[in-house]
Amino acid sequence: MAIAQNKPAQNKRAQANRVSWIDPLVLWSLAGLAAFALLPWTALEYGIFDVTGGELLAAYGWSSVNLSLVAVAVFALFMARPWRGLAAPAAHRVDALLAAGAFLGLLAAADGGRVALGYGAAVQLIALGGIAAVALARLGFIRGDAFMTASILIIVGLVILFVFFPISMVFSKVLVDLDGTFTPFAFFDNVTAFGIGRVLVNSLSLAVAVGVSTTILGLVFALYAARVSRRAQGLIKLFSILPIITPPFVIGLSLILIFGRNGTINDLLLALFGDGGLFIGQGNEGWFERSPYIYGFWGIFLAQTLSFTPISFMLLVGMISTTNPALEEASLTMRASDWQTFRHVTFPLIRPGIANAFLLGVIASLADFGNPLVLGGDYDVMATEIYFSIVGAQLDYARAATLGILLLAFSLAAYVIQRQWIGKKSYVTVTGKGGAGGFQPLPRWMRRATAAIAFAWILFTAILYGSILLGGFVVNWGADYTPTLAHYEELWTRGLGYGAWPSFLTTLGFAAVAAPLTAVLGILIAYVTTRRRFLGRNVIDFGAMICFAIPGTVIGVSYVIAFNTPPILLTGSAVIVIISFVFRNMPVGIRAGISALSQIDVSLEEASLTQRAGSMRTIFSVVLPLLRPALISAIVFSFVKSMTSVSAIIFLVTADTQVATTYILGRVEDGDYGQSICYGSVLIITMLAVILVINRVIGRSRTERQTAME
Amino acid sequence: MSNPSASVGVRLEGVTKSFGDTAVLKGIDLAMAPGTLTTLLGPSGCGKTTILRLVAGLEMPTTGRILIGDEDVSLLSASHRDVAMVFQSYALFPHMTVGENVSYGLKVQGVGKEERHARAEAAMASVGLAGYGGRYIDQLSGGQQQRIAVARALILEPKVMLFDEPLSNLDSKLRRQMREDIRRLQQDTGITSVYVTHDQEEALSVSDEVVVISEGAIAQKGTPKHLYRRPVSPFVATFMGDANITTGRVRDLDGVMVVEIDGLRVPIEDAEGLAGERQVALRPESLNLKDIGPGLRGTVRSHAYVGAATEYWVQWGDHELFAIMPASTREFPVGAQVYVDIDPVGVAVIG
Repeated sequence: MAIAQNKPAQNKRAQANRVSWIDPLVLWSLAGLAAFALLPWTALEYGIFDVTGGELLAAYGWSSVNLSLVAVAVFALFMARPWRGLAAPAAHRVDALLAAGAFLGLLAAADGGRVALGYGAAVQLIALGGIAAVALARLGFIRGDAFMTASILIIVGLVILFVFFPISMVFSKVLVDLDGTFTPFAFFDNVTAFGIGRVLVNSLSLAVAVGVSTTILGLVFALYAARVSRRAQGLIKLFSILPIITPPFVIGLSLILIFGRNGTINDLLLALFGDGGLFIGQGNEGWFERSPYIYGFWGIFLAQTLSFTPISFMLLVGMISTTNPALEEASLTMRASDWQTFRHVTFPLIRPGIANAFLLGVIASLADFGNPLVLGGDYDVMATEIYFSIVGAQLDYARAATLGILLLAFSLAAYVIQRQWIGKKSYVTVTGKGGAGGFQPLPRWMRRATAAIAFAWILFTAILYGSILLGGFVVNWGADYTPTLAHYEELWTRGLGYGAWPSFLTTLGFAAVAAPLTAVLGILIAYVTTRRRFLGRNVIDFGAMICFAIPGTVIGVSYVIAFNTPPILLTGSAVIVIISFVFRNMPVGIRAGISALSQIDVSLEEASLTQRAGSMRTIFSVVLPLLRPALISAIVFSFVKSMTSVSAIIFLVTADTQVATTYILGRVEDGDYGQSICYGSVLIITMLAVILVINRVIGRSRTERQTAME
Repeated sequence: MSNPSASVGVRLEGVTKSFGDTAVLKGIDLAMAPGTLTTLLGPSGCGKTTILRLVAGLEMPTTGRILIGDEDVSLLSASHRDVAMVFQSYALFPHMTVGENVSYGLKVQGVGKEERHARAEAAMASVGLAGYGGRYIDQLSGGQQQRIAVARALILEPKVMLFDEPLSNLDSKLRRQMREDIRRLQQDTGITSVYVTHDQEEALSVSDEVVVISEGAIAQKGTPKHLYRRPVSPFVATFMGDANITTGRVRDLDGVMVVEIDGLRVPIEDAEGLAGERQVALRPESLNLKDIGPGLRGTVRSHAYVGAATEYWVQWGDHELFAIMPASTREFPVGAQVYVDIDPVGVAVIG
């Protein structure tokens, strides 16, 4: 063989280097000790930026005799490892058990002692996790892979801490009363409490109605886009971007502008038929009076239909365009008419997708908070009722928790049914091979009808968005249509400390921190759940499923309840807002990761592993470059979703951490529509710009072209 | 370069592997001698690839030990084992050039750029693709990708090379040539190699030793010739090539061992201790159709012309015999009464 002669020596040196590395257990222990020395061990009540010297000193573990000394003792023990003499598996078992025991012990002791843990303690807990990961890997866990083991421990830890723990605290609010007495029947008292039944019926009937309407409209548009229009890409793009960049209550706001008491329609009708209107003589009683008909069921229904139709459209258009055209051709060759073909072949093929779209519409409607808040009037739904139970004068955590549990149960049930449906009933064959021919045309009347409905919808949407863009430039929509820049000046030109700037900058900052975390965590979860078999994968799967199904309001209320007391005291901090963003948007990252990973041949990673690259190296050199398009779109998407998020964080923000959406809602509550619309349109345009710029900059990379290596 | 005497063996001791409740390997004991090429042969789903992946460190054994040389690597991750693998799909990184692919392992080891370059060139030259370093993977043909995958595996001078059905994506002509190239490279380098395939012809042609795997256990191991001539079970006999399984009586006839099938006596070698009623595998190429005896009397049921040969199905009692005759011999029509004579080379006594 011609491979050069003098190389083995180099190879040996590289191997020797690896062997002489310091034991990672020692490194982790040093990290734990350094955290004790350098970082405040207990939580700082006013955050690290506003702390006084005395408070900071008191927060250090070494400033007094406290729990932190136990942690120090554990790390010192790991440095010495008196059990190192044991045979290999036994010593590793001692490592793993001691680390796990210390981890749980510290948490339990902090909980019992009402100690709020700070940065130092957090680093120490991570270090204990690291030690456990190294020890487990040495025992052969995850194919002896310490990095993957650590990743899995971190993910499991995060899912338990920020998904299961808060939800369990919600349950405990219902089952345990203020004195800490166990009251198992309180839940039933709360469920049957005055008003809850009505709220429940309201929510469910709205959700079913919205599920039906979004499914029908989504199907019509999907047929139009996939089978009628030749310019369908534009429609698809519009539908895919609009719901992302539109803050959840903005549709509601624009409906108020058009249909509200002082809205365009009322003005128009009044001008025609009202007291003193065009067709009514001066002084005669009009046929028409201003009415708040848009508030209530029909208003929310309209807003949610407009908001969520794109979701069902995106699902159905994918399904319709991946059915096999040969099936329809087969039907036509058997002398079926085009209507019979649609009725007996095409429609049954997409029926699972229709059921799916309906359930997604139900879930979205149940979870929606912004539209009911703005348009609800007397029509209470669960999402808003949870909010009012906490923010109002009531401060009734038990009621909020009860509603939260009910809302979670319904969402989760709908989600589980939807998942089952996808799993068992999908006829869509994704082979990557197109059928030979194109699709057969739909019956002519269907083509005309879908085109007409799609056109009407686009027109209506254009009017709504137009009103949002224009509404900020008049003095007071509905009362005084004099053009003005006053709202913009008020919000944007009075310096960075005034108007909209503080909340806008805070939002950008939070979203910028949360987006990469969301994408990385989501894709990492996708990676470990699709690529590794391990004990506890079900925990992650279940946690991820809850993240998919959980309404934002429930996240918000559960975080408020869970992180308001030691040992993990986060309420009021920026950290809790960012964490809620991350877990709220994580499904985006998971979904992107799963679909991108399914395109990548596993043996690429295995090839890297057998080339002696560790799994961390493999992820950075092989997996991430191939996932780059998915990673970037996940980051962009979660950035934008964070900017429009309202339901979860409305419970969590304080005056210091006010974000754009909560600021706008504040203006809405003050009745200041001009400023809220003005701010909303700036948000929409900012997010549109972010998406367009990033799409342009990234372009289509070489990697994207060939992520799939068969 | 590598000195065959420095090669190390691979040993599996009582290795089992289960995925959930499914036992994929049911106790594998296997020793592969230093510097040899051992083929794991079996139908799909028999567990042969799992054995390969266990040696690679891509799976961990449920029980048992795996040793490379004298080192117990059972719990070591893939990246800490001195092995290299050639994948069925080649698994070349699509976002790297050919040169970057080949030198990836060196880069991971922290080898400097110039040396990486030189060694990658040498490795590519050794598989006949010098100067291809700047191309991307999708600019190579299937055969070239296969060679680059081999070059990438060789560059780290591993103690063990693993081949996972490396030729299954190539056409038959290319396959024959690559098979020879792999065999030559393996013998030149003396790297202990494990080779997985479901193609018995491939297995017989490249291997020092063949291990037939069936349902997670070793059915038989031995040299290619041994397995072909002395299969221990009908499964092995049929897996090593087409075979008609029937029964015969093995006996000592004045110092010559023969097997008697329906009165026809065929001399056999190495049959000590096999006397008695035995199952016998008859290879179709060694069945000759004749007009006159001696032979097994039968009737031609059907035949098919396949170019270089004609295939016959002959009804013999309640058996159907499958025979392959060179195209040069005369044809027998359907319904013809024939005698089927047996060439001793194609007789394998099972057991």
